[in-house]
Amino acid sequence: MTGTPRSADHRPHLLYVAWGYPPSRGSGVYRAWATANAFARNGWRVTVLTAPRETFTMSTGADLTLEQQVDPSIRIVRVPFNAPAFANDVTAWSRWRAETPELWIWAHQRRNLRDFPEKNYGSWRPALEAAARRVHAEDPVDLTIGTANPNVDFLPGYVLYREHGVPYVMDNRDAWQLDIYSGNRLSPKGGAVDRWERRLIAGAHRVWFVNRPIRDWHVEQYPEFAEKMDVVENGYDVAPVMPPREGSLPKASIVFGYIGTISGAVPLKEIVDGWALARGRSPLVAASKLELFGHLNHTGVPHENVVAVMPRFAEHGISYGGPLLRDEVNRKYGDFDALLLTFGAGKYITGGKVYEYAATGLPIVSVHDPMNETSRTLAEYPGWRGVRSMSADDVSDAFIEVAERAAVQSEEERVAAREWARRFERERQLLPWVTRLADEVASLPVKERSK
Amino acid sequence: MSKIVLIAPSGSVDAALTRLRLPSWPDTVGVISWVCADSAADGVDARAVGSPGSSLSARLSRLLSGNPLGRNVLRLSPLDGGRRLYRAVRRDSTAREMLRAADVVVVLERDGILTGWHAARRWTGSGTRVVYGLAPAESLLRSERAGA
Repeated sequence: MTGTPRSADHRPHLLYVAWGYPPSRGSGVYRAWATANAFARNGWRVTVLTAPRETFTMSTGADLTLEQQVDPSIRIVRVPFNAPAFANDVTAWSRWRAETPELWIWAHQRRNLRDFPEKNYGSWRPALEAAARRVHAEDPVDLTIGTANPNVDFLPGYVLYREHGVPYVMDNRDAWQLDIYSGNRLSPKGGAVDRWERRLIAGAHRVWFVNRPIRDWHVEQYPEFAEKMDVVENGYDVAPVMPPREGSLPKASIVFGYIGTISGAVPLKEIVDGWALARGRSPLVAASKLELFGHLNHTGVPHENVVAVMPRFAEHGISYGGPLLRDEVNRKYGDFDALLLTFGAGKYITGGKVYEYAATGLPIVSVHDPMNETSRTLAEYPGWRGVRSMSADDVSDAFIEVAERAAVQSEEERVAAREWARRFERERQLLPWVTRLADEVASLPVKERSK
Repeated sequence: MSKIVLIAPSGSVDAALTRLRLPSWPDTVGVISWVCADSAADGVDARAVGSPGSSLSARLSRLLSGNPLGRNVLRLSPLDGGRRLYRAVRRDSTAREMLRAADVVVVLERDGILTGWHAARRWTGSGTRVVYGLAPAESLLRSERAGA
C-alpha cells in the first residue's frame, strides 16, 4: 500500500474517528461506541481517533461506566484538542474572557473557522489529520469511518483517501447544513460549508444517515450521489432488565419516567402545562408521579428555558433526579410504569432513546411535534400514544390515555411489546454493514486503495 | 471535608445541587446570588448580595439577552450583570468570606463568571479550584470524594 509493512494480523484495519467517544457522556456517543465495538467483534482491527479524556471529564461530562465497555482490542489514540470553549477552569482565563464571555467566544469561533468551517472544532483539523497519517504509516488503514458531528471527524478519512486511496464512510448522526429542528438550511449554497460537504460526499464510499427524512434531504441536495446514501438507524444496545409485573391491576397510581438530556429544545413548558392539566382531569394522573433523569443541556450548564420551568415541578408531582450513569439507566427503567418521550420539534429528529424505550415494553407517551420521524418509528408499538398537537389540552389527553393503559398493562402485554421492539437491536442495524464493508473493501483493487 | 461555593446570580441551584449530590456531609455548601430562590435546603448557606436592579433595567436586560448582538451590547453597558454582581460581592464581607474559605467555587451562570475570576485572584486560597459549569464541578467533587 504505502511501502509500510502490513501487520502480521491480516484482519482489515478500521480507523474510526469520533470526537465524542467514551468517556464522553454525549447523546451521540452510544452510536460511536457501539459501531467501533461491532467492527472489533466481527473480524476487524479497530483504531479510534478521539479527544483526550479531560475534554469530557472537565467540560462536557463523562460516563466512566461506558468507557469500561469499550472492546479491549480497540486501540484508542487520543488527539490533543485545545478548543478554549471547552476549557472551564476559570482561574486560567484571561480578563477579556472573564469580562465579556460572549464576545470572547465569538472571536475565538471566528479564528477556528480558518482551519475548517466548524465552530469550536475547526481548529482540531491539523492534529487530527496528522494523527491519521501516523496511524496509516504505522499500520495501513483499509477503511475509515468518521461520525459527525463534529464534521471535522470526516477529515482523516478524506485525507487518507486523497493521499492513499483508502475508502471512507461518513456517518452522519445529525446533519451539517440542515437544522433538524426547523428544517431550514443552516449555511448558504456555495459557501465554505457547502463546498466542503460536497467535496466530502463526492469522495466518500458510503454516506450514512440515521433516518429517512435526513437522507432524503441530502438526496435532494446531491442527487448525483443518491446511490451511496444509506439509512443506518440507531438501536438499543442492551435491553433493560425489567422486573416482572407485580401487584393487583389496575394500579392506583403510575410512575412516568423520562431518561435523556434535558436540553433547551425539550418542550418542558408544554409538558408541565399538559401534565398539570391532566392531574386536574384524571384522579389516576393526580395520584401519579413524573420523574425526570438526565443531564441538563449538552454543555453542562442548564438552559434558561429549563431553569425557568423547574420551580413548578414540586407542586405538580414532578421530580428531577439528576443524570444517570450508563449502567444505572437500564435498572432505572424497572422503577417506571410508563415512559415520557420528548424532543425538540422537527420531522428530522429521532433520538437514540426511542429504541431503548421500546425495549422496555412499557407504554410510551410521545410529547413532541407529531410530524417527528419518531411517530413513524413507534406507530405500531403496542402502548404508544403521540400527542395530536403541543397544546396543553392534547398533551393532557395523551398523558391520561397512557396512564390508563399503564394501569392495566399485564406482564404478557409487556413481554409482547418487548418482543416487537427486538427489531431495534443495534446489532441488527450494524452487522449487515460490518459484513458488507468487509466484502467491499476486500474486493477493491489494491491500486484504488493505495494511490 | 470540602467547602463548596456556588455562584448563581438567579438563585436557581436546585438542579445543580441534585446533579452534584449536594449537600452531602461532611461537605458544606454556600450559594452567592442576588436572591435566595432555591437555596433554602438544609445544609446550604445562602447569601443574597443585594438587588439585581430596577424592574426597568431587568426588562431592558431581558430584551437585549434575546440575541447575540444584544447580549454583547448588554455586556459592554452599565447594565452588565457580571460587573454588577462582582461589585456587589466586593461590598459584601460575608460573601467574600465564603469565597475565601472555599475549596471549590462553581460558577453556574455567565453573570457569575467575573466574580469567580476575581475571586480566584483576590480572595480564595491558592489551592482553590474555580470552574464554570456542572461537568467540571462534578469531576472535581468525584476526585475529592474518592480521595477522602
